[in-house]
Amino acid sequence: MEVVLRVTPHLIQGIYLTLYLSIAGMVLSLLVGFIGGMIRSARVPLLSALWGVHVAFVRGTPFLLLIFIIYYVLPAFGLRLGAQSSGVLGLVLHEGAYMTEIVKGGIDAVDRGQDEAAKALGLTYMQKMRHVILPQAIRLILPPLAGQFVLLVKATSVVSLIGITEVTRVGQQLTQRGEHTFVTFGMVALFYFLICYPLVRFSDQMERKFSKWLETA
Amino acid sequence: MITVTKVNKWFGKLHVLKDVSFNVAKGEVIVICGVSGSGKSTLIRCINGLEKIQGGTITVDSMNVHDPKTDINLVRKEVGMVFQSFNLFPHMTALENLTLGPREVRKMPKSQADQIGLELLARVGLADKAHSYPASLSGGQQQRVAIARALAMQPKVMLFDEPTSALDPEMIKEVLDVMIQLADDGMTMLVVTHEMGFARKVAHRIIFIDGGTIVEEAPPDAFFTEPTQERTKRFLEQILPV
Repeated sequence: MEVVLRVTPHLIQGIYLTLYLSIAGMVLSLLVGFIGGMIRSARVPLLSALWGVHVAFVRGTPFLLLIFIIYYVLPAFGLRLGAQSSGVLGLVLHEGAYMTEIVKGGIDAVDRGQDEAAKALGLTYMQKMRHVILPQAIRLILPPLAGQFVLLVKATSVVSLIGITEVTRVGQQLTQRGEHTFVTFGMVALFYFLICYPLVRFSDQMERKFSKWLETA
Repeated sequence: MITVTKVNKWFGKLHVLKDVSFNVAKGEVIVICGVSGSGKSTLIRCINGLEKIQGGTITVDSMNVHDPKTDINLVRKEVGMVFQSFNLFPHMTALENLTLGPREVRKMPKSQADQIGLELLARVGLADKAHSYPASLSGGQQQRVAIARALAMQPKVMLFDEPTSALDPEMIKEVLDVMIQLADDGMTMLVVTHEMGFARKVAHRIIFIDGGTIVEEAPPDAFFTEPTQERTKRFLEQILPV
């Protein structure tokens, strides 16, 4: 119990940073994912191909390498970012790539007839997406998206390797100073679980909510 | 109202429409028939720009549909379309399906769009289904909602792409009845269908397409009793009851 009281204030410092990285990462990668998904799905010339190359790169290389490239290689090209900005950018580029594919998959899975019916009414692309395509795609997108959020929260621990003292890094530092390893890392694990598990539950609930109109059949 | 002039279209190497030309006057009902793959559905999909053409011109209400300078949504505002597979929006009620276009495209206030929507649902005999989701409606009911949805935009022209082909036989009549009523009200209609009874009853002209070209174009009486082309005769022998 003493250990818990002793390490908690330190861990909370790290938790703030982990939450910051997670939330910034989620919001921005979600934005990137939706814009990227729409660009990929609509096959916008050039942009779609370029983003496709990025997606292939992200899928084919470790996340840590992307972080290292942003933090150590980009300065050679004149783009010098701080550790936290590098971490957020890495998370957004990495998770945004996966989210792009999730969003694209959801949009592409909506029946083609829906797209045609919306066009035939004279809806613009954005009106069609907002009122017809995305509301139907969202129930396909949300469950894997929530899963991707969980991966994102866990991936924030990787950015400790460029010197960001988020909660995993804090735990490591505490044990190096001689704190009880089981209790310290146990608390770190509990923190991640408390964040990630509700996300999974949330995704299940959303899936049920959006399926409502299907159940009336 | 519609002029189609020397329209050519290819799907890859497949030449699906070859120098197709015809006109549709205001208030005319045209039935387009032909075997599967003859290009009849493709033709009407070109009229609201769902398909691109590679040659010729199509104008609707003096707008050049395939001119890059034309805002295609201005054309689509005036051209309602009914699909074989209904394509209702499954996450919206029948009434919401009807009001989406008027509210978003015509910027109509919700109360006015709702009022028009309810009137149209009553007109197609589905006033009591306003708040039902498509999945709880029969095929015939869904298609009638789809017709009402297209009418809610107050279009000048209605296109029907095999509207009864996906329906069980006992539901075909309820949809055709709505279409007949619409024709009687003076709507300009272009209908791709195999329903020759409907064609005989309401069409002003029948266009028979084969292999991407118009083989025969005649008023129903002449079309059914004295077709001029061999190809038309063979087609009629196949589809008409003996």
